[in-house]
Amino acid sequence: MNPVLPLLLAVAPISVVAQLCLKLGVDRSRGVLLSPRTAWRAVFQPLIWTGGLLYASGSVIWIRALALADLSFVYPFAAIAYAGGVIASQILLRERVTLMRWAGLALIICGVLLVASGRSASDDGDEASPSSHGHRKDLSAML
Amino acid sequence: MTALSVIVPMYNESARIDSCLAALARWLSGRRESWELIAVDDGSTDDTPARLARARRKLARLRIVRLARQSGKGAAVRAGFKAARGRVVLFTDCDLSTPPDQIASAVRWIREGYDLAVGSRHLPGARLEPAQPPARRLAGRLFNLATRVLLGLPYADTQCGFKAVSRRAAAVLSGRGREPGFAFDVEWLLLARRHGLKVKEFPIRWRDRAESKVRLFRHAPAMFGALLRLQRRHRSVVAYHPVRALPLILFSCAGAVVGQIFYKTGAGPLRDTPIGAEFLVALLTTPAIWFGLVFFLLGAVTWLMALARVELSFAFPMLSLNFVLTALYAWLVFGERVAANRIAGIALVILGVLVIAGSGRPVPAPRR
Repeated sequence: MNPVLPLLLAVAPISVVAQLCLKLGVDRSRGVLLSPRTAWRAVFQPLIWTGGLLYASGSVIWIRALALADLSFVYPFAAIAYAGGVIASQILLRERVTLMRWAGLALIICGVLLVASGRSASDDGDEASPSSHGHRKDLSAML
Repeated sequence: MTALSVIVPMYNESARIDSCLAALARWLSGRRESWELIAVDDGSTDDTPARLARARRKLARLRIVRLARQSGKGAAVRAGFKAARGRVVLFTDCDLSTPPDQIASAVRWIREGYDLAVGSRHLPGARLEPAQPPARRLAGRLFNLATRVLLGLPYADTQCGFKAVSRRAAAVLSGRGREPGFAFDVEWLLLARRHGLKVKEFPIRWRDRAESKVRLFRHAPAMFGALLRLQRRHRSVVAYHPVRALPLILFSCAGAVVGQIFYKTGAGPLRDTPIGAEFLVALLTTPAIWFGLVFFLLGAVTWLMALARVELSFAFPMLSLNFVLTALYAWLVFGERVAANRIAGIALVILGVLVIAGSGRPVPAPRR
């Protein structure tokens, strides 16, 4: 099996759970976060640092996946994460997701898939020097 | 007790005053109930006062309130409301863009139990004949968008000079209103929310009159400033529109992207160093790593602040802005030619973010 696949399959669930924890934790400590001065205190809320750790893990996995595979293979999994997040918000957080919001999500997913499609990052531009090429590939490590 | 008071604020309305008062008096005389017409002279410097005095001699039910110095439309309307004796109090602009027969609709809503009836040009059912010129219409829409976003007021038209109030509301609004100028009725809507007054926005028939007192460009900054002022003063009832969190979300994504860039810059040279004590020491002594950490943390805290203000389904998909910012950075710094599919994809992502931004609903102000 492709070694990067398990990593990628884990990215979406981890991101979704991470953000759910963050949102739940934030809702519990909302007063603190309304002012920039007191916002840092949010770290003490357990759901928040759990979510933060999960998010960090997700980022590490994402970066590793991009080192192993091309972004045209990896990026679409971010799109899955966004979709999963919105669905989870509707079901678990009971948020009202209107048709307009689904439409926006659909546009974003199509956009991400388009960005990932076609030639891969390593094919881009003959003017690229080896050092900048490497840097650019690393830059793709954004979730 | 008088059934209906009609207030008309005026400032240098020499050209229109006679036809305005005549049209109003004509329509009001056709009604069976008692009425009074109150003209508020907002410190006019032309012959408006003289014309008013002449009209007073012909029209017994005309009362005149004069403000010695020009104080603004809001102050003038409130002065008229304070002087009013009617059970229903209504104000209309001197140009009668809203024809007098629309008064019947406004009064009916107040009699059905509403405290404030707001005439609206932009609700379904409104008839605009002739319609406004496109420039004014656009300016009106933009201002309305600003009121919705900044103040969370869910009305299609807050600026139409045609509103009626109940006796109880007249006391509250004239007593507590502070806005001197054209934003006074926006303030009324906020005061209504604060004092539990029932508001009804209803469609009206409207005729655009070419001459209007509001000069688009000159008054725009002042109007916008008034909205911000109202936002601050009535914080407790201003609903939070999620669009206001977009700067936080954008800043958060920027923080993550910049943090990553610093990290890559710092960790790049260490790529071949095996993980161990030497690697860790090298990492910790690279300034770029620390910069990266600071930006990451800023991005993280800002993201939490955004989550405190908006729904997760609103914010989560906007993480896709990371891709947009990354591509922007690559394009600006490396000057690489971006492939067509990537440009199209970026455009779709931005469009999707805007659509989601538009799907936001104002949330009542959070309890601190």
